[in-house]
Amino acid sequence: MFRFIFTLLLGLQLLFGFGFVGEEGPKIVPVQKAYKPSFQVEKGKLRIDIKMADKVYLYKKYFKLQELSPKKRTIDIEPFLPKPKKLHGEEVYEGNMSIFLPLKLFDNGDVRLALSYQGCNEIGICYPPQTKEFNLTIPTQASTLTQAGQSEEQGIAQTLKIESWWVILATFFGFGLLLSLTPCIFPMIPILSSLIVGAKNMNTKKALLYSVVYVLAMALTYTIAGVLAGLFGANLQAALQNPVAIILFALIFVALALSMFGLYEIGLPASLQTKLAKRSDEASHKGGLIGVAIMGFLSALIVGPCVAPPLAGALIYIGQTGDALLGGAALFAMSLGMGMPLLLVGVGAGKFMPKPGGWMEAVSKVFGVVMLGVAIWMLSRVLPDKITMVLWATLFISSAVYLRALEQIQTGAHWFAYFKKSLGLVLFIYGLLVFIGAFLGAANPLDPLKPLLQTQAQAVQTKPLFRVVKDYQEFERIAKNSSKPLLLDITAKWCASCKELEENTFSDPRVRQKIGEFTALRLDMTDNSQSDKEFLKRFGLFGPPAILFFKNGKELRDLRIVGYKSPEEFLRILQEAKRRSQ
Amino acid sequence: MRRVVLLIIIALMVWGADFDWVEGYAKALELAKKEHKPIMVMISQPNCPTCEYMDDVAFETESLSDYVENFFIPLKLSLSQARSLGLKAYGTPTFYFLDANGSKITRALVGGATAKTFLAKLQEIRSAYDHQKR
Repeated sequence: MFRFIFTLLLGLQLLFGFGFVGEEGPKIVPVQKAYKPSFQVEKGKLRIDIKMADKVYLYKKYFKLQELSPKKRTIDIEPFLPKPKKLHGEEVYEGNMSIFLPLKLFDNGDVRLALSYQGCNEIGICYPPQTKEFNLTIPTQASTLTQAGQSEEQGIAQTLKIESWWVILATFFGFGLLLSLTPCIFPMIPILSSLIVGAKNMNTKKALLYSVVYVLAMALTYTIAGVLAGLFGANLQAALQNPVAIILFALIFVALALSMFGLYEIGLPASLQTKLAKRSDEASHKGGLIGVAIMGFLSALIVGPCVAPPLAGALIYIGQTGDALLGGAALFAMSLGMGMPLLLVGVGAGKFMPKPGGWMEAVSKVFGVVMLGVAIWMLSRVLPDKITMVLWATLFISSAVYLRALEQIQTGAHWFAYFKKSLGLVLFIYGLLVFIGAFLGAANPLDPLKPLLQTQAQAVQTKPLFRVVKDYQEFERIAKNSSKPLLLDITAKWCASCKELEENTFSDPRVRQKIGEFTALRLDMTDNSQSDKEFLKRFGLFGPPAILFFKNGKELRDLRIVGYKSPEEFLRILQEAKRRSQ
Repeated sequence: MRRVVLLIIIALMVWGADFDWVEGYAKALELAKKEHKPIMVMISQPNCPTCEYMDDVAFETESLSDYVENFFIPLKLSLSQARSLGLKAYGTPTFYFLDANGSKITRALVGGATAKTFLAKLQEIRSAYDHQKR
């Protein structure tokens, strides 16, 4: 609307003022004189000044800064642009403007940058887009400079990342602790500690030191394995978009789970194990801290039948995240957990440890159940909801049965038997609910009865929220002609977070109303066809779910959503997108 | 039946109120040869208020759009497309007028104008074109 009024006003200006600006004459300020940019490093910042001629302005949205060398990348300078003026409904700058960029945005040393901008002359023409390249030397101390200027969004992303990190690290530590309680490790702990601490003149302090060195050496080995998994896992992440790969990995997890149940043993070849054990034995005879360290290192390599499957599982998980740092940290946390009982023995707290017994078998079975869970989780990306839900129900119910939830407790039984039965009953009831939910059409095992509570709401949701696009060409065509701000949802039937989004977020009436203000498009890439893959590649995406926002056919990159968002979070982003598109 | 008539009327109105930009330079040359008309090239880019004024107001004015429709082959190019054809532009909009061989009839027009002014200019150019042909 605003733009239309302006257009009419411009008409008036043309009517009373002049007809044409000129016939290719010298009257128009050429673009080289219209904008004169200069660059300098000043007080720990990169200062960009742009001198503008009279009646000339620049669009805020067309500013772009790229690093050409040493790295090739786009630097997000939006947060650092000064406050723009409104002109004809667009955000623009006039006169002289300065941009200050913190040097930590750049690599140290010599960098080559390219600044792009575009604007118009109020006389009635718009200049072609311009790109100015320039070289700078960024001083090394730049990295220690102030962090101010970091955008709020970046800040939040950082916190979120750190928070989920703690969850992952704590989980791995917990698994490590559980691993140490499996039948092939737990009985070894007293023997191990006697070997480590077997030296003469041992006191508590020295014993602790020896235990710590042993545990750290073991942890180091696993950390390296985690980092490697993270580094080489990026391909795994891409491969897991493929249904065949998903099924294959799910089968691997089932195989690992069965071995945890004691059906067969998975471990390094026996010959290799004996060899390593012999080395480790020799190291223990040598004594001293180095000997202990070597023992720790080698014992990490002798992965026995209890440790190998969970370790493989952990490495596949880490590989899927493709994050080397997280991989290293997670495996380090896990090995600390594994080493915990050993450290306890080291400080002489061994008497507080439970006695070895049949319960250790139970611990390894818990691992088996967890792995079956992972397998179902992976399969849920390719299987129909109903089957996935039935699988979850089966897992819960059979776990309950194995916990003897449905058998009578003999009078005078141990308190643990009662606890087990209670736990089993809870699992059993939950499994039943999930089973019922499967036939009610629920898709989320965490909320199996949702369809019951939602029948009313669903009646209203008859109108489809999204218009489905086939390929990029169709998307581009609609995007070009869309007068409203545009939203693109990328989804697939085999994508778990997409389902969550669908059920929790897109079903929310507030969200539906707000989406109505957008041209809402959807790409369903269930088939993962060649054209789907090209679509993803154009936006540098790995896979669904992803929600992209566009203004005049240009993506608002920093609003891009990858993964699940709650209705509240999603509404906030929708509002921001709407605001920015006006 | 009434619906069909209505549809035809609407179609005629929509069709009459505007002219269609020709798809591509080659097609424009071909049409210019066939219909013996000069080509009007408009070099445009997004977020150009004057370009929008020309599209939304000037070219929507019947007198001008009819004249373009009948006496010119209209071709819209982006800055980069124009550059690849050797048509330089200080800025947008810039109008070039070419004959069927692709050579310039007059100097380029830079900037926009009201429908009336633009129409007068087009008539001038058209008569220059007819003059050259003779």
